[in-house]
Formats: sequence, structure tokens, C-alpha cells
Amino acid sequence: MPFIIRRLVFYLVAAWVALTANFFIPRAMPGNAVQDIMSKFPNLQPSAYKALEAMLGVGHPGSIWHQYWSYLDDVFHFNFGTDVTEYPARVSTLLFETIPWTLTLVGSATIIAFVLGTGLGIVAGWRHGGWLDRVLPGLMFFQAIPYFFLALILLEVLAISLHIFPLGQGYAGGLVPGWHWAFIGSAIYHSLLPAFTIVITSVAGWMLQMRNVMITTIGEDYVLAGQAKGLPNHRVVFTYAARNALLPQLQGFGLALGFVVSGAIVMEIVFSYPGIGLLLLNAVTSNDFPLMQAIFLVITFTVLLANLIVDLVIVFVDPRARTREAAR
Amino acid sequence: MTVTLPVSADPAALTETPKDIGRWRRLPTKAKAGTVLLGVFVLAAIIGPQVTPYDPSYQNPSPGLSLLAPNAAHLLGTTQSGQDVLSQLLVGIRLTLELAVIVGAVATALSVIVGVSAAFLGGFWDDVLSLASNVFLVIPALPLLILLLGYLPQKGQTATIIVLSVLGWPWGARVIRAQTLAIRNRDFIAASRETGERTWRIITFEIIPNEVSLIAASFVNTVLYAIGASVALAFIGLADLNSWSLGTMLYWAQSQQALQLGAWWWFAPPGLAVALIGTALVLLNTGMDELGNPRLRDASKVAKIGGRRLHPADPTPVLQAAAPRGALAGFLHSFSRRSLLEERGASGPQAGIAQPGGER
Amino acid sequence: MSAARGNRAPRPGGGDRLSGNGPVSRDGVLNSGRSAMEPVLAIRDFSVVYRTSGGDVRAVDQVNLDLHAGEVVGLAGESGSGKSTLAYGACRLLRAPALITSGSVRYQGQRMGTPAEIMQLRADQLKRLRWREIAIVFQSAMNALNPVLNVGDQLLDVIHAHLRISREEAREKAASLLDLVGIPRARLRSYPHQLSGGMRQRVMIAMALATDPEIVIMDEPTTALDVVVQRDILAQIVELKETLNFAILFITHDLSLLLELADRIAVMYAGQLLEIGTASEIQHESAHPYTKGLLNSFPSLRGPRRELAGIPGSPPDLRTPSPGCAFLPRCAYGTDDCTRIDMSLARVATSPDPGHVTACPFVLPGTPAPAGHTATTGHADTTGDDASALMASASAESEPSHEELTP
Repeated sequence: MPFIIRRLVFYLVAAWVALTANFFIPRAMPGNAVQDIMSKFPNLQPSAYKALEAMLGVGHPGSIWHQYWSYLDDVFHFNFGTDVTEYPARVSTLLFETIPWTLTLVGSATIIAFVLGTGLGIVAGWRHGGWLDRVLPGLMFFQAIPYFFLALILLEVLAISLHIFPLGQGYAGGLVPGWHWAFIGSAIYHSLLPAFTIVITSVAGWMLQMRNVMITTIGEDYVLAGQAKGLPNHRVVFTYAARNALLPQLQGFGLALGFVVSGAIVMEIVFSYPGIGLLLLNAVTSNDFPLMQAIFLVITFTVLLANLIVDLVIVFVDPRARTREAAR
Repeated sequence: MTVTLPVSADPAALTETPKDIGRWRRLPTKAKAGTVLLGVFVLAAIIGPQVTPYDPSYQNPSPGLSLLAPNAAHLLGTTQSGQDVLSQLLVGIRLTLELAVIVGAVATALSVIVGVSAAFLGGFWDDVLSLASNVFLVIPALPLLILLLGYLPQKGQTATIIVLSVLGWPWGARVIRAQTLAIRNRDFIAASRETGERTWRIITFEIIPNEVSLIAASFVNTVLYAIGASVALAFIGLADLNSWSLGTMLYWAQSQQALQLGAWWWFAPPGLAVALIGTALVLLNTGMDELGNPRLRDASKVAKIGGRRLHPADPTPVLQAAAPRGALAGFLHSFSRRSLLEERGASGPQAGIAQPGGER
Repeated sequence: MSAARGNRAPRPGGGDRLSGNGPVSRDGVLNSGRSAMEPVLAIRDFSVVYRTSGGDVRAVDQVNLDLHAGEVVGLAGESGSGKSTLAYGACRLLRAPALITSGSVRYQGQRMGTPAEIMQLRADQLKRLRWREIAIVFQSAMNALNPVLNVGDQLLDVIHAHLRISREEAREKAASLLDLVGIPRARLRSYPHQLSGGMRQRVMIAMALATDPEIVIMDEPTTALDVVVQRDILAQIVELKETLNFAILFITHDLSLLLELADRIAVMYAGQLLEIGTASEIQHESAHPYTKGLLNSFPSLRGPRRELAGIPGSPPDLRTPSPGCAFLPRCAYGTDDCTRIDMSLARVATSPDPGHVTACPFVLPGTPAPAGHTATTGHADTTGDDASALMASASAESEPSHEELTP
């Protein structure tokens, strides 16, 4: 318990740092952001400009503290302001439309990749020297490819040339989103290639990591003791070696989550997938600051939450973490 | 655990190979492969821009030269606006590598400073620095980078370098701090303290030299991160779009619909370059890992005795003299798998290995 | 039989000695009724090599050793002498790059109809043999216990792997095993990191005895513990041995411990056995210069003060064995003839016991050492772990003849 509490406090601190960074960055940057927006979007209502100024702290709309508190207040009410590019849509609306797509795609693909990679890593670690090890340099290559580049290649080969997968989008055009089979089926079909991309790129990393941890763990005394006890092989591999190797692997997973999520989001752009990625691209291209800031917060909070879940899993797996305040 | 003997894996061997086999040959294969691959790109980075066949920015207005597939005149084809892809690539490799190496150096220096300080100052400052490192580790880097760069009016090389370095130090700092703490508690440091050596001297001459491999690994990792991050940022448009880095090439390829137009020669080369450089770095890193961790090294060398792979669960193999055979039996036996397991050149008569699955 | 700890009532027949009654009692006379038994474990011409890229390291070289039922055999030697390699190698538990290059290890327990040749068993046969017949107590209990399983689960692992009993019976057996070593039953649910060092070691012992093995190999079981706990554990071990009647192969660098605990002692150096004898013979009539050196390396609580001698020099490089006796560079008695001997164990001429053997053909018990010896290896003096370990453990001798130890 103390471990989880400590982690929770830590994540709250990190969340607060993110919020504060989000607040101060626009104010700290050189240049006049509002002017940029004005020049790009001359057709907005004056109230929109006012809101922007307030958000960006231009024109002394009150003391810093006052701004800060009203900012925090806004965030907690999911009020991220009005969007610029899709004016007058509210940012929160846009976010709520796109988040589910990203969550399902990236979430499931990452978990699949992790489980698959870890499993392969266990085998590679136990039977080191086998064909899995020979494949290793090739896998390292995949690990080094940027997600979106692999997406480009796969899209080119599998979708454009071979017509196996659709060219992009979240679902076939003309379908109305809703909870009916035609839509869901189409959505799944369209998510296969992006998911496949994520899995291929990240599996190598997980497998490599687990393999190395397994090899180190197998050298431990208790694994030898397990063999000396005459236990069946599967018991030694899984309960004695793998279960202990899983702990550093899970910790690595938590640390890598930020990267995985970021990479996946950029990859969405290639597929024109209706998730946060596209939103992000538009926001950047058009200097849509409210949107950019909101996306940052959303992604950050999601990653923090995911890390907390990973910590819960660690506590579940490692009895030592339950009692001690194990520092990660 | 079973080894209580000073088993040395030092290939500076006794009689067969001479001692001056050289440190290069002794490196794990992965490290060698990585270095060679990286060397190719470093070379390209150094001389590349000098040997570009065309000016990468030159936009040839003639429509006939737009989006040409690779041909004799343009080895990697042309872009939408008639620019030579190969030239862009050569310039791009240098720009990207330059940026990544600078970020690597700065961020690694920062992480060493933070890591060592945290370990030495201890107490409150250690807590603060550790907390800062952990917080910046857990907050996803890319969105924060986007925010930082997004607000900057100028998104040039320098800005990117600064921004990437600011977020690139936490990982290394954590690792170095842990290592420094471990070393700090070792006896020879206490001895130095006893003799009155001053702290900064201890740090510079005793601690840092012991962490060189760690710092090197951290540097390689940071360079990897810098390449990935800068390319990703450029891809979504957060870079100097008038320069030719590998990331901006990809941005333009994407925004000009190179994929849909089938112009694979536009996006494939820069992406492949990124992937290969990344692979080289990963290989280098893994190789260095193996150098430092003997268990990994032995594992990669594949436990083989008598040509047969051994798994950890296998019982210790037993050397056996092969049963004497007649000529015909020996001939037939040579087709069997077991004959492959007999050692060549072992002292004494043909010796075979008893497989764990076999018995007399 | 009392399973409770702390039963330190003096035994009939001597103080608080740790040794019990094996087939060979302390004064070298075979106990009646158990003479000339087939050994439970017969190691013959056993050699183990580590194949490294720097050459073959000869960790164990042509070792012959017997272990009889219910007997305590101590295996003594410095670090790196090969004692652990011998024991683990006999069970084929060594990992790559170990290779067994010669020899046989024959096991004949009471449960077996025919003897088993361990070097020829298949993997599945080995699994059945391991633990059920030959169990191991590892040196560091913290490292040898699985951190993610609780004590009960680890005991049940062993029980279910070898015994065909129902779940309830297995649970009851696990609990009774803890009773056997004097640990409260509630600890079944504890994890290794929640136990003290002594408790962990006792859990290891309980686990080793779970399937009532014929032989228990103890690999420096008390080295990592403080002296008081050490004493407790050793007393416990002896008690258990009396009750359950298993043989022990006790590996340690602490010779003084063996002098009290073991029935017979085998002294190992650089992968070879140099001397085997009963504890009494080793203590009072040691025949090999190395053994004499070891005995000179630790002080006794009683008796006149004498200079601690130790053994100069350090163990040899096992990749390049020199001809003849490996101990020659450090031996006070050494001559050129020593490079030509063949290191086989021969009966000590002056001993009535045919089991007292030595590898040195030149030196007898009582031969005085030539004066002024220094090691020829030129390495720094090491008195071995023996002296330092033995500073702490008192050798409780009641013999008045300890003056014989003075050179």
C-alpha cells in the first residue's frame, strides 16, 4: 500500500508540473502568439481574440496568480477554450470526438505488442542461441524505424499496391458512426494496418528487453535451485525465471509508454486516422494554440494514468513492492 | 553461481592466438556491425554536402522533371518541384546527425552533472533533482516538445537543439546517479576521502573514469532519442521547413502526397536513412551492453559444446569416448546426427558427447 | 526425538559436540553393524572442465570419493578449489561452459532397486532423482529462494513435484516441515524477504528434507550467517540427521567446523583431493602438508599461544596445471620429486585405517616441516579464508594433545 500511495502522489506532482508548464510556456515564449493567430485567422469574433489573449496572458488581464487559478479552474471543468481552426467549436468537443479512436487503437496495439514481445522474449531468453536470436539484428532494425515511416512503407505495399487494406481513414466513407455492426466492422478493418504497424515496430523492443532480463535472471541462484529441485521445466521457466524477469520488464514498459504513445499518434497522420494525431497536425500547422495545449494535457494525463496502472500490476506481481516503498 | 573459479573469458589466450589479437577483434559482433554502419553515415555526413550532384533547393520549374523515378541523371529521382532527392539526402544526413550529436553531447553533459550532483549532494538536493528527473521522464516528451517548439516563432536548428536537450537529460541522469551512488560507497572512494582528496578531484579522477561506459551508453541513447524526436517533430511540421533534414524531407513528401502519387523514392530514402542510423546506434548500444554484462556476452556467444547448443535446463554434458565401430558401421554412422556431435581434435580417440536424451 | 529448538541438554558421550553417530565414530572405529556397506554415492575418476575461450580450466581432476548412508563427509578447501564444482557436477547441475570429461557417479539409495549411473541418465530421469534422492542446501538462502513465491508455495513445489499426495496432505506436510526446523506455521505465507537470515536458511533445510532424501549436499550453509545463528543451525542439522538418517556432504572452507561435525573429511585443492580421513585422523594425524597447513591456520581458544602460520602463496591458475603436485609452490616439504608424482590417493602407511588416504607419498603424520619456507609463487601471502573464518568459531576440543598442532 505505501508503495501505491507514494506513486499516486508522484503522479499528482507530475500532473501539476505539466499543468503549470502548460500555463507558463505561452507566457514565456518570445514573439506574440496572438498576433500570429490574428494574422492567420482574421475572421474570428472579437470575443475570440479576447479569450485567446486571456488564455495566453497577453495584455495584462489580471495578476499572474489570478490567471493561474482561473486556468486551473478551467482545466478541471474540461474547459479548454474555443478552437481556432474549427471555430466556433469548443476544443473539448473536438477532443472527445477523437480520443476514443486513439485510445482503442493505440491502447490495444500497445498491449498486444507488449504481451507478444514479452512472450517471445521469454522464449528467446530461455533458448538463447536459437533462431530467435539470429533474427535479433533484424528486429533491432525494426525497433529503430520511426513508426510513421514504417506506416508509409506498409501503406504503400499493403494498401496501395496490393489492395489488402484500406487506404486510410477510420472507417469507410459514407458510413454513419454508431453502434451497429457495419460500422464497427469497418472500423476494425480500418484499424488493422495501423495496429499492425505499431505492433511490428514495438515488438522488437519488448522482446529484446525481456530476452536480456531473462538471461540475467536465469543466472540467479533461485533458478538453479528450481532445477536442482527437479521441478518440471515449465515451472522453472515461468514461475521462477519469467515471473521475476517480468518486474524490470514492467518498469521498462512504464517508462517507454510516453514514447510509444507519441510515436503512435504521429503515425496516425499517415493513415489519416481520425484520432488525436490528425488533430495535432492541424493544430501545429495553423498555430492553433488552444488545441495544442489541450492535446498536450490530454496525452500527458493519459500516460500518467497508464503508468499508475502499470504500477498496480507491479504491486500485484511483486510481493516485495507491497510492503516496501520500492523506489522505481 | 556454480562457478567458484576464476573463469576468464579473456580471449588473450595462452598458446593458440597471439596476445596482440587486437581489441577490435575482441569486441562483440553487434558492436562491430554497429560501428561500421554508423561509420558509413558519418562519412556521408562529413563529405556529403560537398559531393551533391545538384543544389538540393533548386526547384526546376520544368514539369517534365517533376517526380521522376530514379534514373541516370537523378539517382534517387526528383521531388514534386524537380529537386534532386539524392542531394537532399546527403545534406539531410549531415543536418540530422549534426543536430543529434550536439543534442547528445549537451544532454549527456547535463545528465552527468545532475546525476553526479544528486549522488554527492545527497539529502534535500538529491530528492529535488531525483524528483525533477522522474517527473520529466514520465511526462511524455513529444507533446511537450510540440508545445515548446509550437510557440517559438523560429523553429530552426538551434531552437530544436535547445528544446531537445532540455528534455533529453533525465534518463541518463537517473542511471548515472544510481551508478555514482554505488561507486561512492565503495572502499576506494572512502580511502580517497581519508587521504583528504578534495571532492571535485574525487569526482573527476576516480568516479567519472569508472562510469565511462555508462556515459557512452547514455550518449548513444540520447543521440537515438534526438534523431527520433527531431524527425517526428519535423514530420508534423515543427522544424525549419526550408532546410533539408531527413525529417523535413519526410514532411514535404507527406504533404505533397508522395505516397498517393506513388513516388516512393521521395520518402523511402530519408526514412531508410533514419532507420539504418538508428539500427547502427542500437547495435552499438547492445554491443556495449554485452561488453559490460558478461552474462549477456556469454549468451550471445551461444553455449555450445561439441557443436550442440545447450539450454539452461540441460544437465551438464558428459564427454564420452565413441564406441569403437567397424568400417561399415562407421560409414553409416557418419550420416547420423550424433556423428556431428563428436568433437574433432579432442585428445585421445574420437570423443563423443552424451546427449542428455541419450543413454547407453 | 524433539523437534523443538533449544534442546541443548548434554548428550551422553561428550560436551556439546556437534557430531552424532555415523557409521564411523570419531575415534576411527567402525560402528558395529554398518561395516563394509555399499556407498550411497560413489564418485570415481571424476573430472570437470570449464571450456572458455582462453582454454580449458580443469576445475575438478580425477576425484574419487565415497559417501555412505547416514554419514557426514566434509569437503574442505579454499575458495576456488573446486569443491562446489565437484558437488554440483556430480548432480550434473553445472551450466555451460562446464563439461564433465571423465568419471562416473553411482548412486544407490535405499529406495532404488538398482544403482543409477548419474552420468548416463536422461533429463527426465535426472529430474526424478534430483531432490528426491539428492537434495541441496545452497549457500545464500536469500538468493536461492524465489522472491516472488511465499514459503508455503516453494515447499509445495517440491512436494508436488516428487510425491503423489493430495493437496491437503501436501499442505499438512509443508506445515510439518516448518515444525521440523522450528519455524512457526504462520510463516508459510511469508515471503523470503520477510524472514531473517537464520530463518531463511532453516526454510532451505526444511525444503531439502521435504522428500526425505538419501543425501543432502550442504554448500557452505552457514557461511553467510553470524556465529550464534550458525551454531543453532548446525545443531539443528545434526538433530535432523539423527532423526531422518540422511547422509550429508558438507562443503565448507571452515575446517574447524568439520572437525566437530563430520565423520570423515576430504581435503581438496586445485581440483584434486589431497587427503581423506576421519575427523580424528585429520585433526591429530594429518598426513598431507596442505592439511597440516590448514590446521595451523586457525587458533584455538585453549592451549599455549603460538604463532599463526597460514599458508604462503595463492592457489594456482587452473588453466595451466603444472606437472605433479599442484601444491608444490606453497609446500614447506616440497622437493623436485614432487613434480613427478601422479596424485592418486594412497593409504597412509602409519595409519591403522585403510580409509585414511593421502596424495603425498613423501610426508607422514608427524613429519616435522623444514624451517624457513616461503612460497615460490611470489604472490602476496594469503592465509586463506580459513584463518579469518576460524577466528570466530571456537574449536571446542577437549583433547589435551593439542600441543601437537604446534610446529
